Amino acid sequence: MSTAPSELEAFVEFADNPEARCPCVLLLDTSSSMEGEPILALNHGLKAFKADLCKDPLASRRVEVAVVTFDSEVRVVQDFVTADQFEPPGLLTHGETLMGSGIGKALDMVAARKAQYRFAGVLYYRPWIFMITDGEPQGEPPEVVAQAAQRVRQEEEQKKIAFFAVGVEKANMTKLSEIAVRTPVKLRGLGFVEMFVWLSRSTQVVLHSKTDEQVALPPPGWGVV
Amino acid sequence: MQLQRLSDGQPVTIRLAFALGVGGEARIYAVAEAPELAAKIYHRPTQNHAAKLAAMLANRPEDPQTGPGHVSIAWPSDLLTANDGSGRVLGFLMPRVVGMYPMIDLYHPRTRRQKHPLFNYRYLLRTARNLAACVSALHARGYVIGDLNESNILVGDTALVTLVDTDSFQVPDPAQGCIHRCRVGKSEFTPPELQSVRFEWVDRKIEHDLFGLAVLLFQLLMEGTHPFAGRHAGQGEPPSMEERIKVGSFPYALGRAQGLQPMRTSPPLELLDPQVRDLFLQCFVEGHSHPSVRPAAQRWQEALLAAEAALVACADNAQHCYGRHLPACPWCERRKMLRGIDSFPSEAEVKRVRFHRTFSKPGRSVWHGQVDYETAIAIATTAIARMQRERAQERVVLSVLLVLIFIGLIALIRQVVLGEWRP
Repeated sequence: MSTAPSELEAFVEFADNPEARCPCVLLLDTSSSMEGEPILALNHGLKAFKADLCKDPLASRRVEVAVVTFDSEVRVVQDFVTADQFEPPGLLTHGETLMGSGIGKALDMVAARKAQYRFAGVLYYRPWIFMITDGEPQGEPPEVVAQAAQRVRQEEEQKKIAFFAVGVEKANMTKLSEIAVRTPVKLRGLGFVEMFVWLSRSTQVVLHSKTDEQVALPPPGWGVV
Repeated sequence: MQLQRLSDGQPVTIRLAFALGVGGEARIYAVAEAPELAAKIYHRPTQNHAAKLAAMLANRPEDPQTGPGHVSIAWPSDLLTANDGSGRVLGFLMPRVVGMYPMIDLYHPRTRRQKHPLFNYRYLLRTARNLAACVSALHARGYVIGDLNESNILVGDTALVTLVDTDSFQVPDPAQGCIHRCRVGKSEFTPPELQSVRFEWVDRKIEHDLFGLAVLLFQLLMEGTHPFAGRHAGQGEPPSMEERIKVGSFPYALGRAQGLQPMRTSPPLELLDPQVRDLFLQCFVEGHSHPSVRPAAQRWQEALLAAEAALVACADNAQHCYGRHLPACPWCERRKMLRGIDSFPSEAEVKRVRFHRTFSKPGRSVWHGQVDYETAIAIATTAIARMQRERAQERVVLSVLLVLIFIGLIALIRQVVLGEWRP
């Protein structure tokens, strides 16, 4: 072992879990309009997400979950951890909808994590960013949103990420389709549990097939396009 | 639901509401009449299923490790037909496997440390040899596993191995003059010549299995490292697993710079017994363009047997087993590099950790600053329940201690009273 111990220190986690990784950022709207039932349903959905991922021996070790919330500020509630170590947070609502900044943060996190994988030599699948909102960008200059949308488009084209947008209740679907390349999906009611179970199964489909192929999604039973 | 055995017409009862497992093609159920058996029932049973199973029943492979309560290959034992007199085959009976774990639980360092901390390198080598023996037994009868991967290999505490999902194998059918193909596969275990080939269109060969076998053996013996995982030096996105296997960029190949370096955290190839190491090079380097030179399962068995015989135990920790060819204990060295994380902790350490887990009161670190009312209540409720449980445990320990002290006192008093006390 010729590498210096100091270099290795940061990568104890990859020694402990050398499996290929599938990073998945949950980018969640926690603005005050989500208050009440929606946020409770979302919190419930996060628990279902973990439970379903942990049923699959590969997904629990390969899917890395990060949680980023956006309201009047952007917060990294959970940095990347594998599903078996993910503790679903209890989210609260507050303030406006800094969606553009949230997207920027998620893209930065994915890039930083990929650099770590590359340094360690861990194989990875195309990262997923999964954004859930019940509104539209609010409280930030339009350039920030435009820039975020531009980055999403670019990185999708280069196959660096797969970005999905899900609208809840009164979400502005037109605005969402301007940001996401893939057609945004409108959540049926507050069916977060169904949606997260579907997300978990979709990542599992990716794990059990090729690493670079197009992410083909099973038709979602939880939403309306 | 009532079914019939094809062999003797005996009834077999399964409860549809209680499946033991669900797969893409079938469900598995317990059998009311025979707890040692399981029934696999296809979602859409076809003539092909029936013909393939019949060919499997007619040509049963030798079980390399029969023993009380153990089967190495969960082979079909009887066909199951519908109860309506049509004789339609709906599925089959097979041995029910209990007390075994998915192989990944043992080669994955974190899981092994948490769930099977005493499964040391000797056990890993034995698991590897037992796996090679199973594959060898199947190849001897003309079977090709096809979809050889970590999820259809189960391992027990004593390193015995069971291959499951046997009805997906490629089965030769001399009676019908055909081959029942294996239509599935996983790219990580698929040889270069079959990458991006549709499995349903090809007859699989033994040499294809031998690639997948070597990948699994490598993972078992190299701390879960996939042989084609490694650092990509060039610009742009690193090549995918498929591309790496196709090109043959085995990062441990000697004297070949192909832009792929071993993972920073994987053990060095020197960890392996020299003979075993040579077999890996033979499979992944020479075998890349010459599939026929990939080592046969039997060859692996011999080399792994020799490697096990050449193991020595570390003076500081008897759980550290390593090849005699190494100048010092590689596991002590690895422990140092991984800041004290021990791949094979000593028995004393394992006991200490277990004791600690039982009696300590770890705080739960979910407080990320944002906790809703419902979650807070849930956390508080579980915390109180845990506290109560632990109090009860403490009370038991205390009362046992008290009783012991009491018995000691009585013995002492008796001796004093009976005048046998000689200070």
